[in-house]
Amino acid sequence: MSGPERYVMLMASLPAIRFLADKALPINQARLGERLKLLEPEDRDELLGIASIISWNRIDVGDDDAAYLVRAERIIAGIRSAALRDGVQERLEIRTVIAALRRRAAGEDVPASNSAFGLGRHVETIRRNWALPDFGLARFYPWLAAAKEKLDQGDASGLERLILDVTWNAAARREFGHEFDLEAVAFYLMRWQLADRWARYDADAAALRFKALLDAALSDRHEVNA
Amino acid sequence: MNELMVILGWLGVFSPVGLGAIGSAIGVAVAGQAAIGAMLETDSGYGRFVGVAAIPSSTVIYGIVVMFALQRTITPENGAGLFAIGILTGLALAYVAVWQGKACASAISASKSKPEIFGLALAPAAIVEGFAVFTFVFALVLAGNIKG
Repeated sequence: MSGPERYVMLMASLPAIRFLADKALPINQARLGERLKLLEPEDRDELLGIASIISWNRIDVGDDDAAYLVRAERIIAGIRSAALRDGVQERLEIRTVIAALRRRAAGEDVPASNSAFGLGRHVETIRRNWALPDFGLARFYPWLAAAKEKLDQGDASGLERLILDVTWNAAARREFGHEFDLEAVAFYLMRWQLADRWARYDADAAALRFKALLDAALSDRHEVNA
Repeated sequence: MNELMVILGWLGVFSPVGLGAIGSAIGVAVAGQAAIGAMLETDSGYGRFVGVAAIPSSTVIYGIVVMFALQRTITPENGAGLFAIGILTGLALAYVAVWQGKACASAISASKSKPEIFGLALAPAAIVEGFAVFTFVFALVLAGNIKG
């Protein structure tokens, strides 16, 4: 089967992901990998290429920013589907804006015009409007003010959740109209990865809280014994 | 010219079956793949999925009935009428079957994770079936007016 129904069986075999509503992922990585064997080789290669620029655990940490951007632009240009290309580009543009927010909050100056600090349509706008709270991008990203506020407050968990929400909504919006094609598979994987990140983030937070409670309990015990 | 009209008449007589079968084959294949995929993810309700996948096969049955209604001695006088009714009925049935297959695939895919919406999820496929029924009924009505 070719065309828009190429991956009917694959998509029908994948459970719905409800993001923050679900505490545990409805399908684990191993099982997902098994299902993805139904992909055609060229589609699989394309998705692996996309994953290598958007998935944190697949990005080559040996690359510096400039090398990463060159690679990302090459991979994006090679994506055959316009919807998928726009989706990946949008994901990296959101990441660029968040990175700029973090850099500015860390006290960094305006990135030099020859430096590679981001990707997409808004790089120059961010440079020009470095001093503005929303980089002059509120029209594109209405959530920027909330993100800056959380960053200023040191609310790491809130910021993480906001970023995941925004990225999730962007992927879900792009996915609309694609049910059983390669785009549907790609956007499903993007959403799975976001849900996985949130599940892990929760797990890390829970582990930290558990450690804090344990430390508190042990210190109480020492005080009692003393 | 007379031979051409007779050829067109034969094309018209068999189109509802031929095109209906093509549409049904595509529709059932699409919905069937969704049913197989859903079976990988669920532990029950397999028969239900297969049953839904078979829904687009109804259009070829309508096509067979229309073919019998159109079947008669084909002459240069009735060839054009048989062709027009047959080919348009066949195209409509094929189109309905293909899209009904997609609607069934969506219903299967959605209801595997949320079984309570199974009945409602089939509503679009049932509405699409209604268009095939319109085509079928009025093809039968018009077929009765063709001489031969």
